[in-house]
Amino acid sequence: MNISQLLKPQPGQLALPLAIFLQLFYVVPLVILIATSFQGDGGAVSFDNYSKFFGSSVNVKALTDTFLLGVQVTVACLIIGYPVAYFYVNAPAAWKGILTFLIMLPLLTSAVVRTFGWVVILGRQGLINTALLNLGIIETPIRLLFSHNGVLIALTQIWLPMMVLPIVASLSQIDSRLAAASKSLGGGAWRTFWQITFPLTLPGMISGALLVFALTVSSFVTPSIIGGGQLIYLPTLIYQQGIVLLNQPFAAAVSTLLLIMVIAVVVLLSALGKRSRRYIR
Amino acid sequence: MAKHQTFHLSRRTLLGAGLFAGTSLLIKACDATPTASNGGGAGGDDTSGGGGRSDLVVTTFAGSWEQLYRDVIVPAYQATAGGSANLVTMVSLEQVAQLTAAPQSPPFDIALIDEGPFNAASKDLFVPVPSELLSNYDQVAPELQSTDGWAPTTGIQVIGLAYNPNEVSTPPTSWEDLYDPQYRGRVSMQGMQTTQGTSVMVQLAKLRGGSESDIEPAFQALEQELRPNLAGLAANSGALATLFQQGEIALAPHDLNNVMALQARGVEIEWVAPQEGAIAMRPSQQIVANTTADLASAAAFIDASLSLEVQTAMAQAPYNFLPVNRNVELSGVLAEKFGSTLDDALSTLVFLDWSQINPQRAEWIERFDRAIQI
Repeated sequence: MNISQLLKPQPGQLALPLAIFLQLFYVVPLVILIATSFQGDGGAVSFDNYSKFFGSSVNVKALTDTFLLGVQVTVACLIIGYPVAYFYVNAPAAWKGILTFLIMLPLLTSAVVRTFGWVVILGRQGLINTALLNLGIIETPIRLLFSHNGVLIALTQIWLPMMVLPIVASLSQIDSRLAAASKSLGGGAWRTFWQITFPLTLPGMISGALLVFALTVSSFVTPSIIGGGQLIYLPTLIYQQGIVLLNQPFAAAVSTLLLIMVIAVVVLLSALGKRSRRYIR
Repeated sequence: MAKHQTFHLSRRTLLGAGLFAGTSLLIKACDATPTASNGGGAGGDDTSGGGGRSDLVVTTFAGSWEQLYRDVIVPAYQATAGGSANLVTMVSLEQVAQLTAAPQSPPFDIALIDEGPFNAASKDLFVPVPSELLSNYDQVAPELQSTDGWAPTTGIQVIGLAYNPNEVSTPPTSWEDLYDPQYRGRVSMQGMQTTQGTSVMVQLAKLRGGSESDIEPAFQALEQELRPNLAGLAANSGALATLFQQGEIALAPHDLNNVMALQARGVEIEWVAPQEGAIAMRPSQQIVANTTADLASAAAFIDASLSLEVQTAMAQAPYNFLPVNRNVELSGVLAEKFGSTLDDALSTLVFLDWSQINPQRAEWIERFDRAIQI
């Protein structure tokens, strides 16, 4: 091997600065975090933090509630986000600017501000309860604030753009001639949608679902304000253990469990994504 | 082709190993920096001769405290000592967490910190303040001075009962009014992970024969009497404010200065000191250990906060903190609620012993979480 060959740009060489950056600020802290989680009393390696976590019903409930919340918000975002994306892609060009603005609007306000907005909407005398009361649908205000459902509603709105945008991306990549072909072969609108369009947007839905799930299970401000102190999700638990009680090893263990949860979902969804791509070809 | 592959693989391994070694060296180097610069101080950016800076980084709490620092304390420090100060807003617990994480290179020089977290924190994180550097120390009421050489209390936040006058015709008079069935589903409080929440729970325990070390009666009252009244727990005082603003709750333990700030913004809210006494929260400014700041400048900053002028401003609207300087004459809402002198006020307030609370706080928080979960 001669010098000129060595100096020739290698594939991946450009990624070197990023690799160093990630190594320093991502991999190393992560390793430290996971190592800390196995630190027992006196610094010895132990599984104490994990057994303590699973030994308490409050913690296990926080884990299952967090997972449930993640799944629910993801599904809700899918159900609401898909039609929005579909509508956007098929809208006349003149409308698109306005629609883009409307879809992106929530991302332009801080989550804290939007959360306090939801407190106003979800309260006993809030928009939803007042409307339902005046319409005669309910007789006493329903409890939305300080409830799991309230957190679910607020987080769905807050993370919705993260679902809409990837679906828009995959919808707009679909060749419009496919629909025309389907139509010429006698496929109706519904059939074309379910057999052509929908499967082709699976990758978009999967990346949207990944984003929404990861963001939801790691949300801190919204669950603590809308849910109040009675609903405990993993990020609240991490804050409480790490910052309030200064029990860093336990906080690290909870963080590791949260990480495992997200990774498990990522692996599951990527496997699904691979299958869906095979189906498309 | 196969050969090429092997070459690639080994090169990558080498790269990874190199990166790892490099990173570990770099981390070690980062860790050693403060000690090295302390040792070779001659080459440092010494300007004040004392080996430190007079431009301080100071923490404060968000809200009224930040406003007070910005408008009154920092200008007073600039006027008397000539230094400048940058503010960082952070709650006490986060400050302790940050100091604990980087004790050798603390991110700020002076910390405004609540009594409970300060008491619980490792004392290696702070340095005592030489009282000869605090010319205003003698004006501080004795019960607010520190017996161990730490800086005295800066100002007192008083926790009493806040209520919505539109919904509560006769103002509450006692902490036990929180259990009154007429407030079913209309009461809130902060969780026990906050200073305010823990203080209230300890006070509720005390009223039923408990103490700082025996919280049992408060948990009994919580489960049997308070829970039906609770609409929900507020995550922090900001959330509590929103709940009052929305008419969501009618009654909650809250501090006077936050309630006054809400009232000034037009929210329907009133505040009373319960007959058993309102609870005093005593945050203090402490000098952080291992800072590169000049000790004399840091002490001058604290001294400026204790001066009659600053303390007088602090005891007036819009801040409404109870001062610690006994020469301050109380006026306005403070005089109305507590009398005209600091001594009058101090005689009615409840002071909690955090040295007894802290060892059990973790256990209490976990128990509280279990008790309150839906």
